[in-house]
Amino acid sequence: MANHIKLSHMSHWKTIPYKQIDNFRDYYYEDKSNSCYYEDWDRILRYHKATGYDGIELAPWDLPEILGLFKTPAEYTAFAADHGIEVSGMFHGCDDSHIAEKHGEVVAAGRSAVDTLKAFGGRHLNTCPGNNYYGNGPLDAEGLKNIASCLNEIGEYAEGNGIKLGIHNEFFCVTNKENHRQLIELTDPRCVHYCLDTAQVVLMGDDVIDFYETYKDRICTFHWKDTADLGVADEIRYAKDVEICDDGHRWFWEPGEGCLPMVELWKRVAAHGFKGWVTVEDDGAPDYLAAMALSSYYMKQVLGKIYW
Amino acid sequence: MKAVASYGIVNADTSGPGAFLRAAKWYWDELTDMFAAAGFTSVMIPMVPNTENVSRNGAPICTASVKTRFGSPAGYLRYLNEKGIESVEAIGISAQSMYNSLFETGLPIERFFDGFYDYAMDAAEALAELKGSTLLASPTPGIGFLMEQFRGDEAKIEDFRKSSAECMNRIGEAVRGLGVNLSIRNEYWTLMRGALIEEYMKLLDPEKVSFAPDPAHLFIAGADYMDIIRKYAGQAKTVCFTDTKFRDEQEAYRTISPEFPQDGAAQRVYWDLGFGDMDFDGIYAALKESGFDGPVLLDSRYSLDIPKGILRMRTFWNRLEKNYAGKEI
Amino acid sequence: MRYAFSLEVVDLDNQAPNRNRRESRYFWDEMNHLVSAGGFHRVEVPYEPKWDFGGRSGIPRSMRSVTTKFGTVANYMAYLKDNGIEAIDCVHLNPSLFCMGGMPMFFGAAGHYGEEAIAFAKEAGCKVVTLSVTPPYSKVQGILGDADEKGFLEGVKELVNKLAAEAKKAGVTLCLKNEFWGLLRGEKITEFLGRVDGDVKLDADTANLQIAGADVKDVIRANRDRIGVVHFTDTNFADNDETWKSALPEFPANRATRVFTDLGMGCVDFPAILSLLKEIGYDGPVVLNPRNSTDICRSILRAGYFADTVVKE
Repeated sequence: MANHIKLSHMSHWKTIPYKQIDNFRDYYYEDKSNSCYYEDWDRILRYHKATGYDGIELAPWDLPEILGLFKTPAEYTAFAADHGIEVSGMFHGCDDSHIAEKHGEVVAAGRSAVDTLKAFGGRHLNTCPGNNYYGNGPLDAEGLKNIASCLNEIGEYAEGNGIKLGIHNEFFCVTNKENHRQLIELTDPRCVHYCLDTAQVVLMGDDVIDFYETYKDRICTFHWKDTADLGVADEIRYAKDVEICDDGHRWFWEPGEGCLPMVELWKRVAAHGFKGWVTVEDDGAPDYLAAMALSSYYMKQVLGKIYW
Repeated sequence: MKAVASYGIVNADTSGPGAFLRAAKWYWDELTDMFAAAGFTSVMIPMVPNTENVSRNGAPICTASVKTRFGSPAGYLRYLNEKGIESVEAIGISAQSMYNSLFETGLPIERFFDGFYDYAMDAAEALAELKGSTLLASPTPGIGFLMEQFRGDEAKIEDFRKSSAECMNRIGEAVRGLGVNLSIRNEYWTLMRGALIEEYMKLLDPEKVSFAPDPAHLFIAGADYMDIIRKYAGQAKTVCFTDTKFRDEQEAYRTISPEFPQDGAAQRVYWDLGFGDMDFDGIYAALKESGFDGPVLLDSRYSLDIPKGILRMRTFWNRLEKNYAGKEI
Repeated sequence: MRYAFSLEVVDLDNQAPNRNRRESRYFWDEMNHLVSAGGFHRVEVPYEPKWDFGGRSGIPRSMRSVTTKFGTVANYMAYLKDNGIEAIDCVHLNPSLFCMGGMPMFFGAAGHYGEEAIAFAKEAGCKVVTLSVTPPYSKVQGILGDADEKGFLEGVKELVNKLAAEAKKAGVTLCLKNEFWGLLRGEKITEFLGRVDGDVKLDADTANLQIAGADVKDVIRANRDRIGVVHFTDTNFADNDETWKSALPEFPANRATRVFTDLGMGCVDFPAILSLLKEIGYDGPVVLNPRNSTDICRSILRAGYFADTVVKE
């Protein structure tokens, strides 16, 4: 395999409450179950390496506990490096970015996220551009411009710090089917890039192949995941609290377990010669270790044979 | 009717998180507490023949293991009583388990029913000590296994079926002396599957052997389970409640893994009670109308989450009784 | 005494296999049946606005969630009754989530959500709201700024008195839970109770008191007229290394262990505590709380077994 691609995994583990469990056998006997296999960073990072990942993407909502355990970002990064794992990036959300009066606040939060990610040694700030559609949409032209303006400013700061800001649009986001492409056009291509979440754009009703071909020069990284829902109805995407379904329906599946044209898309990625981080995002999976392994197998053994 | 919780809820053979733990005694100790905590005072235990491999583990799934761990079935009953379980109402035995043990024991197929008789009597003696009422037998191994064993020779398979009936009559006669009833169940992959039970019952002495209908097994085999339950409720000493949504469109019953269909859209056969498609309200009413008042063996077979399956079983039974009482009013 | 089961059995914060289910409504729909099948028909609800922020309204732990899914709290209560749960006996608010960014942020949010939790309890017909009286020690250190612990506790006193007034208006009793990791751990709570509104009562949480080094029975005796709710929590943990001061005190960093066990699996002397509660004539709610279980249904059944064998009257 050539080495154009580095594989990362988005950290959707919930709070990992231990840094390292040294008394693993004793601890196992307390419950005699598999729960202790999922409670320390030492093992979680070992799983990353063992299942073929080079990196981890951090979730900002985990940072209070991570910093509680590791004290500083550098210590976490060094611990991960000891396990052969790099921090590839971090997620960020630009809540209230469509509101002009909130511009300063939103940009300040974005800059702070850039600083945090830099301290962890990461490269990609994958950024949800705004709030949920429900309660905020539809956006007028002004609202969309406000979002673009926030992204441009944060992006400029990020670029100056060696960080790539990538727009990560979600299917229930205020920027949605009717204007998510327009948002890309309104942002500065020099400093605002795109993190293509393969499932999210399809859930919105877009064509992932066409989207990739149109914006391949803007795409700096991927959230690679599958879905079995091709184009979700407006009344669902625009409703309240739709990310988690009442009946347990899953929007997202491990690559290869859904219906996306992954091989076709990957061929386009290969043709374009993309180089960099591809992050698998297994949100909603019941067993992350199994999901990580399944996803890695697909990425490396199915897609990797086409291009890596 | 008396609710009896089946230990068949535990699948100790198939992969799953923590599956290997199920061979240990501590696991079954706590299972006992959990059934008691959910309000069950009587249980059914599926037992396999005594073999070296099974006897040495801590699960009470063969008489040898029970004797090793508790001294005797009576010792096991004392232990259960202390935990809040009053009786082992039934022990299940299965010709499939007998067949599976041949590889280890080396018993030739020609002596299959001698071995099955011994296995049945050993279980029945234990059951008598456990103050139980019912030996529940599944009379033949799977069709897929028999097709392989007899290389598709249908005459030999038919002889085997008849021999199984003779064996049931023989067991039925013998266990009466122990104060135990022999009931048979017709699992959907066996030679008396579905409506074939009607023919099979003609080979049996109704004084010695009764039929315990099970809606899921009848349904999967394509029989009208409500009709058969109504027809046989009068003679039944016990009934089995198993739930399913499975439709055997690919004839999994003919394969050597009928409970784990290799093909088809649905690959899961059993569902926790109350989560499948069986009309248990209708079945319960039909049993009441027929005057059936015996033990109902609640079998959330191979549950994917045992504590949850136990709690669901309690919810299921409470609802059933409540719904029926509501209709009566 | 009447027994309730705490829905804190479900841990939403920490990693666990199959955790994803816990964010969807169907999981909680069945939870009512499972708790009821375990023999419990009264529950404690942890009040957790955390899930409001991610739109996780399938989790019925806040006013927003309940009104999003059921329209009104009254509808929710009717739904619970239809599904085997007769009453909510206690609502627990732990505002530690907001212990960040400084004291004004913490006290502002704790006050706001405290009032909301009281309003929720009132509408649910629940008579007890228990408040985690302080966040964990280490979190408090992070927001003190120029203030000291004494100053922080003055803020807590003000917060408690303000919420006590709200509770009084709502016909609800405000109780204080002093986790072993808090500033008012163990016996310290007794002195603090003497400094706040006289209607505020103690939440006697057995494992938390024991881990903090208090004699549980002594604390109960000392507050015999001020006990508003009892939590039966169990533990085997002895905090010999000041774990209570660490960043995640429920997960001792130097030696992994389950601080809170299922009921009956720890070493809390429940028969003695029960007998004392009877002796002092306590007749309020007792909440069985196998907090943050690693196997929820097993914990329900273990609590049922515990109820049948240990607390059977």
